[in-house]
Amino acid sequence: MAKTNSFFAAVLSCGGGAALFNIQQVRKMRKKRLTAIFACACVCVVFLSACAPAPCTDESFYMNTIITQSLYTKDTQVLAQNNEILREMEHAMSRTIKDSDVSRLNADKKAEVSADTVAVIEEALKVSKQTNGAFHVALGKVMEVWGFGTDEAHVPTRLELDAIKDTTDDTQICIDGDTVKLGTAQIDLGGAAKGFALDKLAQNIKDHNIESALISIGGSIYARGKKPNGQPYKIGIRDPQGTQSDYIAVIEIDDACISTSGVYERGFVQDGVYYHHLIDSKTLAPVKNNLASVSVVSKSGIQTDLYSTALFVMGLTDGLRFANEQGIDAVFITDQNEIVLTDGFGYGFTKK
Amino acid sequence: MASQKNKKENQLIKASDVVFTAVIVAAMLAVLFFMMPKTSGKTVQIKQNGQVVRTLLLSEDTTVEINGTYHNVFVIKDGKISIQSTDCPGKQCQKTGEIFYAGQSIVCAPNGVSATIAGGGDVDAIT
Repeated sequence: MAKTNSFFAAVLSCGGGAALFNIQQVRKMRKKRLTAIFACACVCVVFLSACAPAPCTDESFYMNTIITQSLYTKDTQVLAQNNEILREMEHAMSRTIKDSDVSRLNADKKAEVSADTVAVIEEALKVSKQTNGAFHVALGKVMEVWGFGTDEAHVPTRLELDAIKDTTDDTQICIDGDTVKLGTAQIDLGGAAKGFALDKLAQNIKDHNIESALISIGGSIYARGKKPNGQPYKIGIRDPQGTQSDYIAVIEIDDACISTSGVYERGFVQDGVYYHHLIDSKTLAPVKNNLASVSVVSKSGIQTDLYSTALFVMGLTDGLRFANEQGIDAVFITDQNEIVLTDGFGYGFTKK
Repeated sequence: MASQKNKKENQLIKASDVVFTAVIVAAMLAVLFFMMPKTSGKTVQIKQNGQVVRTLLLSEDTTVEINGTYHNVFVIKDGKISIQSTDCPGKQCQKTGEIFYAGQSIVCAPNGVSATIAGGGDVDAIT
């Protein structure tokens, strides 16, 4: 910005000098015209350079993922507040931080936890019930045994999995105020925490009257308003057969969240077979169907997270029927890269 | 003689006008030129915990080590950047492979590191 200003000053003085040189030689009437030309030029330069507002941007790492924020505001405090919200969320819901709510619950079976943790568990249980366990909150131990995202990732034996069957019994989870009891269940909030965090950041942005913003928490995205050039925010849906930066379709969203569950997110190869992290709570193994990813768009971030996982686990036929019944806006991509949208998909969609 | 002088003064456009306008236009072009991103070669920006720690040219083969909680070794070769080795759990960053398009990035979340090739894509984010 400083660089731009100095160049602007240079143009002013240079142009000004030229104007003086001319003014001495021409009559008053002509002076007006030259001033007009000069003024036009100045306006043009200003429009071309200084007028595009720059967003406050930030890149941070919480909850084992990358978070990028771009907010059109002059209040730099909002970014700091958002990062503090994320830090608190991580400290409550991480499975790897020893004294997090989730770690204490899994270790002690019963604990007093933050209001956020209660809210996430409640919402997760609700969707779990509604989807007949397609989204499942009590997969903490199962995820640990498979070891997704760690160096110990491997395929457990059927015996190992049968032995931890009781850790997936979510009917034992009960909530009383800020006290949660798990019974034998072991929880993992990985499929809900990012979306919930997105909702909290979105609320903070609205509270500060920020009209244009884009936030991505490890690919769970919230966009608000339009870009300064009047264009809507365009979100690419990743091409399951490409790299992280390749997309297969574009969705335009405004004051909404989008989240995708895809086989490519986390997984490992053993004996030439790829194992992804989307676990079927019935088999305790990666779900096998013809889907590569499911994206869900909604006003609620936590619902995009929960339903994208649930619809993926249900599979194309059942997932599509469920989404249509419930009025969920979803995009299914098969392992053949075929795209299937829910009926009356409510957002601007373009295939690349 | 007098009428000729009058005629000259009444001319709509004088040589000085042309010079003046040319100077202004040239100055504007100069400003725009200097403001344009350098197109001499693609650059890649490496950030650690949100702060830019390195800006490198993709056209120059090199190896860069980033130390933090873990240890990432980036290598730039033949206009592509990739992670040659890492000791982070899961090694997700290394699995990204080589990147070389504007807007592409490699992320090592455990180490708080990202490498992004300058220049935006057509979309604002990818889910």
